Amino acid sequence: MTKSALLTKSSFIALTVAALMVTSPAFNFSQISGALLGVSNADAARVRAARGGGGGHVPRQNVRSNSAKSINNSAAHRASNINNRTINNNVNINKNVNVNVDHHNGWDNDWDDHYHPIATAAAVTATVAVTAAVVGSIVNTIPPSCSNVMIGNMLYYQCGSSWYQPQYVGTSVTYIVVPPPR
Amino acid sequence: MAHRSILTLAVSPLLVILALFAFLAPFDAAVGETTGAGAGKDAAAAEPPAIDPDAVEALVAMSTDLRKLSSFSLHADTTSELVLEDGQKLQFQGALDVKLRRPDRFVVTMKSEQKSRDVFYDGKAVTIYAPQKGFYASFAAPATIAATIDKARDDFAVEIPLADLFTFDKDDRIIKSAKSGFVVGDEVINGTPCVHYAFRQAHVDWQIWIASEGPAYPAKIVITTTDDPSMPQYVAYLAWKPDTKISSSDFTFKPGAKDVNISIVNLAAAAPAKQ
Repeated sequence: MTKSALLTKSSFIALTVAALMVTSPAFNFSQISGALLGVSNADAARVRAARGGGGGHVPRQNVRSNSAKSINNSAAHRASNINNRTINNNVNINKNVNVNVDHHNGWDNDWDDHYHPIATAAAVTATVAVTAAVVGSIVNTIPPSCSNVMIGNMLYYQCGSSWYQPQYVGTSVTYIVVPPPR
Repeated sequence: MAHRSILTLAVSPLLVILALFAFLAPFDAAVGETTGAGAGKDAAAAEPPAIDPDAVEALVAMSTDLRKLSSFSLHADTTSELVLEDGQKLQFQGALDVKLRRPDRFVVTMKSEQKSRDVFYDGKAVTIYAPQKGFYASFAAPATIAATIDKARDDFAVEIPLADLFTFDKDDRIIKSAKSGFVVGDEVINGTPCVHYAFRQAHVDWQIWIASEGPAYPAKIVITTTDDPSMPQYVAYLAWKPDTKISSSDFTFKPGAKDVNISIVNLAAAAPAKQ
């Protein structure tokens, strides 16, 4: 390839990229640069996930409090009572993935829409050794590779020998370990 | 020429000092007056008045006007905050839509990137719905909005955002709970001339901006949680649609084909017997 041909090619690429940036409202530079640099789709997906685009969004830390959304009616003001009373029996069933929901407020976790059971299961790989979960414990996520089963009108997740049922604690969806329903 | 500039140089610091004195003198007098008046008041009453009567009056006027609404729609653009274990604070954008009809109907839609919930109250039951997850749960509810908000909070740890604005049919808790309050001043919120007030009470400091023309509806609320040293805040900009016609069916939850009914933990039932 001659020097001038190389120059022409690179300026063509630059122009294309520039044109895309102008015309596409949802222009994603990483996709274009990935294609140009020969980065595989898998790599590109990993990059997107690392940037928070892959639906992971699992917080690195637990949440210790959140802003009260009313002046005299905030459930947060009762947090300590609730925490001591009921749901202090949760067990961290999954040490590689911190699924212990019971942060200081215990009953609320504003991150929880990103704990899609299935999506989380896919994102977390098989390094997790699931031991039998303690019946009655409450977690925010269920282990990977669970199957959902409807028995009667009730939804269960079967995860190996453990069975979970979704339930609300406050406005958060949590999963309680139940005895095998069948 | 040379003489004059030397004279100017010599005189100008003097002028500056004189000017400063002239400026400071009235301030000194003013400070003296204020201190004097304050001391007088302190001597008269054991404690200085914590709540400015004008601030209380503004809340009363707001309550009165809100109580007049037999139904309304309210849209709020909100930011809420989470505090992580190490104290780091994160802020999230959200939206809140409320439709309410006295005495026994409301539907609240909360939308944000991390958490979206709908809460329906149809006079008989409260239903919580997570649209992204497709889970809903219900519990039996009392006959009024205020009692339902109390039950949701106390028994089920369900907080209805800005519920203070819906419960005027019961009492004026918003006024009675304040420990201190004062008038901050005039401010325009999204084009609405308002007066800005600041209050403190147990657990929260809060500020409210109440329209100064027309009905005394609040245009903005800031609630600062003081229990946590990181002091997370909730901010809501409010747009009111008074006396809107709301169809009764809007208050009733209708599950979609894929939605699943699950349970909600009753914290009161799970608690040990009350002493």
